[in-house]
Amino acid sequence: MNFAEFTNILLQKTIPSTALPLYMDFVDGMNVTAQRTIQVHALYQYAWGYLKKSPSWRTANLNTAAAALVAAEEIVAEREQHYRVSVERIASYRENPTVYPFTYLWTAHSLYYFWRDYSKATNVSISTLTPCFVRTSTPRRLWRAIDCRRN
Amino acid sequence: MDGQFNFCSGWEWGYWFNDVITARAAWNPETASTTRYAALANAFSEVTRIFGPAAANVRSVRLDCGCERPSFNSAYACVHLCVWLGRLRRCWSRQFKHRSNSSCSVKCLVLLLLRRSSAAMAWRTLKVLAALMESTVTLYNARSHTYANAVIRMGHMERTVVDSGAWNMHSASEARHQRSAFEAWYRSQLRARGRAALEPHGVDLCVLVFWCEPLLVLLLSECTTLTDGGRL
Repeated sequence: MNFAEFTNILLQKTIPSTALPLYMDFVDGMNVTAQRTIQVHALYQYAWGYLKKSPSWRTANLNTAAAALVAAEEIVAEREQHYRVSVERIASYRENPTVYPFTYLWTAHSLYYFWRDYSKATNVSISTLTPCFVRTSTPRRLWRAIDCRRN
Repeated sequence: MDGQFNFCSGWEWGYWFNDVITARAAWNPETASTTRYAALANAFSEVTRIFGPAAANVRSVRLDCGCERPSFNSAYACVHLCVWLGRLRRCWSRQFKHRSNSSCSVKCLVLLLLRRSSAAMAWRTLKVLAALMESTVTLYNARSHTYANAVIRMGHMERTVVDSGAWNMHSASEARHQRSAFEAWYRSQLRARGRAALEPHGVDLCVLVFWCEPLLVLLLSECTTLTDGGRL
């Protein structure tokens, strides 16, 4: 689903050009959130239907989830064109002054949460069963955070 | 006042809006407004003036858009309830000291609802919670809890409804029994406290948009008020 009607209703032409970038920020945010909702809902249906629904029904839901992920990729790529600094600076996986091993928009850039949930719903393995599946923090990093605070 | 620190986390785009609203609310919490909705709408109208002729539309869409899409309401509600429960879990240890007792945890949730929300809001959320409980238990039986984990996670929430062990039930019938017991317990609380006592007291305006979440900004503002009392 997209919010085409939303953008039509609001008539972008009536918005002052100075405010248009902010408005498009809203639109992209709404769109990617909608895709996220579709994905979560479809994955939920897929998992819930294991014993209750046919394989084709579950596959259709899985395809919906995958399509939402692809759509989200496009939205993120479009929004990244409007960042005021380079994507590498704020959306890359690299050491930085925080305790996180990535910069703050990396999870959006990589669609980390989309992929994590998709993987957890579609794979059964020891790694996906643990709550630490593709975690973003490790004991070493936590200790480093504690250590930094102590100092 | 020595100073103020506004903190927000867990979202990527559109946070300028949240920052502006919370910064302005520090100076003008809209105490003259009679409802939270009106307070939020007023706060929005100041900021959305930049959109010129479309300001009213932007404001109304950001406030109401989610309500106009019934087919998506349940999905949104489920996702946000999970986010909300995740946030709530952080409060349980502080306020109630019942980290592992599932029934206590649920009751704590309702207690917070009673303390912090209007009766209508509490009841709506209770319904969603009850439905989620039932579906989660079904899901739990259908497959390992990992799947439930996968689908109801959102954003930075590392703990989920199922993760928390809150729904330690083993059959759909037991879930229904729990649900009816839960509702009965809620109704008794309602009777004991009186409906008037459940109305919101004052205006706690705290907007925390989760990953640029304009559709449910109103609900989130309610939720953050419920869980953190606007004091992060």
